[in-house]
Amino acid sequence: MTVARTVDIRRYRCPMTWVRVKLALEAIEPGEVLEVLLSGEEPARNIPRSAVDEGHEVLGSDEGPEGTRLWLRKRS
Amino acid sequence: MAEEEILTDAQIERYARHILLREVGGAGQRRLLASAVRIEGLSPEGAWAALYLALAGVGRLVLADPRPVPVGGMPPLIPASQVGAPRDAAALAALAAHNPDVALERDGEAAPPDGGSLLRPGNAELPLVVRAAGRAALVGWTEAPPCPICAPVGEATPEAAALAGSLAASRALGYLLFGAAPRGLVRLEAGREEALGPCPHR
Repeated sequence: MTVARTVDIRRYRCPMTWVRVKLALEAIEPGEVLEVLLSGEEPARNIPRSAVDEGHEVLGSDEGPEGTRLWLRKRS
Repeated sequence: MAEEEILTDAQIERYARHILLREVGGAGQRRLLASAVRIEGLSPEGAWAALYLALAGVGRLVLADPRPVPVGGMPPLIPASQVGAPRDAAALAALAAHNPDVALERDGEAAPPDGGSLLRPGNAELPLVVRAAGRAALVGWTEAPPCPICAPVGEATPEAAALAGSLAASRALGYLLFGAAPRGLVRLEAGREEALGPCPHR
């Protein structure tokens, strides 16, 4: 999986978390993958839901010492 | 080009609600910031529209209305202390405090508007002349008075003025974003009127 762009939203709170992710999705091409670095329960719950609501695909996530990495494929 | 290079952190904070909207997003906000709107006639409705458009981040606002500010000012935009000053100049001074992204200009050469109210039948007080940046064509809009619901007789109440201003601003923003003419409006171009759509209440 090739990541086109990474956005770090760990220092933001809702709704700015999704605002930052949405802007990052706008900056990549359809079909490309965005990597989101997040922390906390709220974004872990809401970012995938908002992404799906707007037609993007959640490819998966992985928890690590820096936080959770979430991968989204931009809708075509 | 990365979004962060186009919208500053302050702008992302300022326009977060627009960015969240599917119909606007970051791309739409950039279009608004690159757009220009000319408002001829600062009736209470025009003043509200100017305020809404400035808050929305329309990048350039040109105001044209040399009439004096009436006693009591034009709340919420122009304070009572500005009574007697040209409305466009007083509005520019007030708007400058609302959004640093907006370039504000006054067109002192504009002919005085008719007076009266947007909500009076047959009145063309609020032509919003919308011009996308870099485009030469000017498109003016004014409310058509096709039915009593569209144009009730009488002075506008503050609530009606606020609603009319909000509506006018929303329509201007919709045009800037989508280029579609809304229903029930008349386009004014080079002094010629052209109906853009039927009255929405019939």
